Amino acid sequence: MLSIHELSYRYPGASGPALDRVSLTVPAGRIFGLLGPNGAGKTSLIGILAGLRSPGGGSLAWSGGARPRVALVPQEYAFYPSLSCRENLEFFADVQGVPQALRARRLELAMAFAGLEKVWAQRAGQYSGGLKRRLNLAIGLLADPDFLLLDEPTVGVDPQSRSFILEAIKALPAEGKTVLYTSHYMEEVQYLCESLAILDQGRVLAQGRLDALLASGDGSLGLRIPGAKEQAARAALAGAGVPVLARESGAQDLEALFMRLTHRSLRD
Amino acid sequence: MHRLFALWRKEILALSRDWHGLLVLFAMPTVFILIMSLALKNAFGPGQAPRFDYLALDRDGTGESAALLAGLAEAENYRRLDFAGDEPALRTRLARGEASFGLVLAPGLGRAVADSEAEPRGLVEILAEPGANAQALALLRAEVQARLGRLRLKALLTEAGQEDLEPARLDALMARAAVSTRYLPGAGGAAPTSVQQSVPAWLVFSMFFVVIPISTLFLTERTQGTLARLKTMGLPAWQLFLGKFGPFFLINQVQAVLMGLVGVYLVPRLGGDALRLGESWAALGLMTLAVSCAAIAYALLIAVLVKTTEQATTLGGLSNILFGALGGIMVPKFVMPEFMQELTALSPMAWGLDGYLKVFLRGGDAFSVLPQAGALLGFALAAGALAVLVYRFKGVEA
Repeated sequence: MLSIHELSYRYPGASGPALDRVSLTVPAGRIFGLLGPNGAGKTSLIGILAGLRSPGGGSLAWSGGARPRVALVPQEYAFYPSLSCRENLEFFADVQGVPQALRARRLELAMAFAGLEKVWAQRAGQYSGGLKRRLNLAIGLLADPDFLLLDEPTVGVDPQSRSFILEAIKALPAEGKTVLYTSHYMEEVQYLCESLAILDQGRVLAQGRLDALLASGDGSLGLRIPGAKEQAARAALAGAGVPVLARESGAQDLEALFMRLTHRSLRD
Repeated sequence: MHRLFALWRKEILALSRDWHGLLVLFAMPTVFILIMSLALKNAFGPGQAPRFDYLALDRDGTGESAALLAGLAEAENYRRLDFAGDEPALRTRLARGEASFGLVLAPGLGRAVADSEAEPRGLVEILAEPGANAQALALLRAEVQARLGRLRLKALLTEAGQEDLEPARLDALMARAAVSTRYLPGAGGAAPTSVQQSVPAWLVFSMFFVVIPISTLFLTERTQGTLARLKTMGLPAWQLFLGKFGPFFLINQVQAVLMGLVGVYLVPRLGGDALRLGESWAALGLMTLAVSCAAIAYALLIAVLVKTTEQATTLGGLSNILFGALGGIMVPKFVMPEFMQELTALSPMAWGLDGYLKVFLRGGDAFSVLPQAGALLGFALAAGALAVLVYRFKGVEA
């Protein structure tokens, strides 16, 4: 488990904080979603967790006390396009000090995880967007990390690759890995994450289990009635002096919650 | 060490697939050496000067003026073209660039030369076309003066009763053999050639051109998030920089060997002079090591300073050209005026070139190039330390 307490960060020369006393709890062995519009502070938070920058205030507490093996899978294609898939994986394995005895097996596992076996000899620069995303992800798994930071890992891929990547990520907790997953795609977070936090302008607007967040409302009461009985229900409510404030069909989804909390305005 | 090998392997693989970068590092200096060695072949050493054409208008028409022109015809580096016309016609042909110089022998030249009491003035006017070589003009003037002096001497001796003097006796009287020239041992006792200047100059220049691949590769790593990823993998700055240093040091050594081979074997096959490598392999090795360290450290500094590949190629390329122009790469230092020669000390390329020239031309040993090698290694340390500081300050993110 990771406990983030009152974490703050301000970029040099910035007028406001990128992170403003952010407190979060990321459960171990789960996929935790981090949602927020552009400029919300997601990448800043990931940068601190990855060790790329030091927080201006607050603290991080990892369960067990020691920092686990953390791997970052950035938004960018962070590998060498002139090298083949295998050469990239070998390089990043060696840089991370993967022991020679384990190296070949780790390479195999990473390639199998990302479905790269058929293109291992091809230069990464010649890959499609989906293959590049999968290689980017595979590199993150080489050192067998405990904690994975996935920053929008499905941007710009076709539906098939996206589905493949999501299935692969969904299987990670079964291997004991904790995943912090950021995305703009609500349905992805809804599909993958048991719990999540919504971040905006450096602050946590909401966090908790997905089902609890979706169930939470704004003080109004939702009733599920058969559609065919709507008129009868309205008449009964009116007779009892109960106004109908809004009408929705179906359940509240994550996107509706997100837009309600972040107030729909453009951020860049 | 395992990490360093991985970094070196990656860099070499990436470089070996970058044909444009390799072309800049190997083909460019080879072409420069060939062109400059052959183009400047005649600008170095005696007996290799180009021939300059001149026209002559003899308005005196005496035996003395004819003897003067006949004497000039013996001059090795000047060739008289056929001309029959007046002075305006001569000026017209000069203006068309048909010849570099025009000699107008004034009426009365013969009488003035023969008269020992006369103080000859304005006997020969040398007209030069606008693009004529100033040194060639000065040499032609000296040649004409010497020939006139010879005629005057002969006239004086005739007046003194010594007629029909042998030309050899006249030469002896004018002490023509009194002065000789000789280059000191160090370059095999021979005169410096254009290839001796071109090879070290363009080798130093090309070694500094690692700035382009180093800075563009580094920027690609930064903008693609690879540097950030490497940092999260625990790669410290010094290892990252050493990871760049190793392969490019190797490339610099290959450049040095290749340019040496071009100078020794290829230039002579194309009609130029062969490069002589001096007498000290240790001195050559020390200079190559020092120039390489300076070039790579400078490239790393540029790489961490710039934000875009456009900035990298502009700042890296332009600063290299500036270093080259200032450092005597494009224009040899010895043809620069004194204050410009002093300015060359500002360019690390000049330190490298001075060191190489000590070995190639003066037979310098490793001890003799210590000042140049020391300056370059000091520059490398300063630039490398500054690069690490800037890298730490700016961070790894784009």
